[in-house]
Amino acid sequence: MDSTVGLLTLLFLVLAFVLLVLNTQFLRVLRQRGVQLALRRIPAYQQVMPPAVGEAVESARPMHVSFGGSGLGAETTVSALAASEVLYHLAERVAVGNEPPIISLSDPTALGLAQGTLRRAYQTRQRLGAYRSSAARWYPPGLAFAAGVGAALAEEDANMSVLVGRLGPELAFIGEAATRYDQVFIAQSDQPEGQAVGWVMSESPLIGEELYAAGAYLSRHPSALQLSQLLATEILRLVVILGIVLAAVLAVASKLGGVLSVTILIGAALAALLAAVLYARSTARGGK
Amino acid sequence: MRRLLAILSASIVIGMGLITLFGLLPGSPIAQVTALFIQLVVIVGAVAVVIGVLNLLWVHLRRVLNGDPGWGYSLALFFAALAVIVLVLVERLGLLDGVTGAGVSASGFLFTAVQVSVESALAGLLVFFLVYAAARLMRRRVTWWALLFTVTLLVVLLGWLRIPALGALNDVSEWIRTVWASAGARGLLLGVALGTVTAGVRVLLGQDPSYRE
Repeated sequence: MDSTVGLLTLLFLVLAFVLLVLNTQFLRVLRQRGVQLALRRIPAYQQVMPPAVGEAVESARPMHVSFGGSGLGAETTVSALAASEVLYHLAERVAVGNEPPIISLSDPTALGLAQGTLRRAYQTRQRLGAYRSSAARWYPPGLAFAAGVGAALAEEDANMSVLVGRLGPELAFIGEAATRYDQVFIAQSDQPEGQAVGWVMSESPLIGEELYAAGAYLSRHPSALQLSQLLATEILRLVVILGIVLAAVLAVASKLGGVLSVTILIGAALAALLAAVLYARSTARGGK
Repeated sequence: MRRLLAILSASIVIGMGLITLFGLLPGSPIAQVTALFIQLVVIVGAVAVVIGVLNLLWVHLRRVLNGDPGWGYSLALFFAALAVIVLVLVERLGLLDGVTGAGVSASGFLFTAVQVSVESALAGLLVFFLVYAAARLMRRRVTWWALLFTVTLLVVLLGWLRIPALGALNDVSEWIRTVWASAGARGLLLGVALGTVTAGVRVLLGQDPSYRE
């Protein structure tokens, strides 16, 4: 790792740590005073998944959750953990039914994670007897994964398909199979190619980092730390945006020089302030 | 006892996580310990591949035994996988040396002839799926964003053809791909990176619900 990149990474990690700790305390105080944080609207979590899970239980159809190529021990570790959080909250709801969910993955290191998460969900519902480790399935990566999962969705008549983690354009095959058999299809990817396909094919896609917010949105009683994570991400996002804008403005101003550069700097600062206020207001109102 | 085990597992995860994290920083004195941990991960990953293959075979064998819909395909997969495993073993033992030519591997040939051909065919189909999905997007929800997406898609696809008669459209297509698409992809990756950092720190704090259950 380059030393500058290393230092920046460390700086961001320390900043994230401080923000998480401070936000958690701040949210606990707010909770004691009866104030609730308004969450930004994410239709996939709030309006699509809960009723689809209910329908899956009532119609005795399985629900499908995919980790894609996310696995443990590589750069996709955190996305695998976030995918397991999605799985836990959905599986915990379908555990009351008779039809076990289908879990697909193409990184074998995620197999144990998926099985453990599913077991935990059934244990929470005290239905460990209904847990089946074979519900989690490994498929070879790439187009073979898409072909295998697409076929499984058709054969087992899944009610909903949630695909999150590392997925490429092969997502189109799975999306096509889900759409053809009238299944709810929700997709997200940490790869731009997969995300683009997911956005086109899904009625309510999850975009990029929205995967990491699953705990706060799907949990019935989100913890202060889960909410604090959302707040920390928003603050860090603002820091990055302001950093990029500032760097661009300084680059332009240094080329122009004199009074014009000062005017541009003041104008950019005011525009950034206005954008930050508007963004904060829209977040507080729950709009996107 | 369960609580004690939860505390123990959380401590191990947090400890290993922090050691790995600081070992990856430039000039870290514990870089060798981190390298050892990463090697362990690689070994675990290799074992996991074997477990993954066994899981695949088990799932399909169950489908055959239960007579689930499409069990015939599962049977074909099961025997095809076994056949390839046996072929590779025979090859490694050198039993096919006289049968295949020098430098030619039977498993390599099988991979090129079957896997690569099938995957290439699927990749060829991908473009039709995507264009059809874009058309369906407009049928499902005509919003400004959907309209913008479709117009952009048409401009980029037409520009890709490099037809001289289209003139400026070729440059617009290039500009969209190099500036807008690239900026969008970077924005998406930055968002994912920020989400990864905060979620990762949350796991390292040991307050994740998975530690407690």
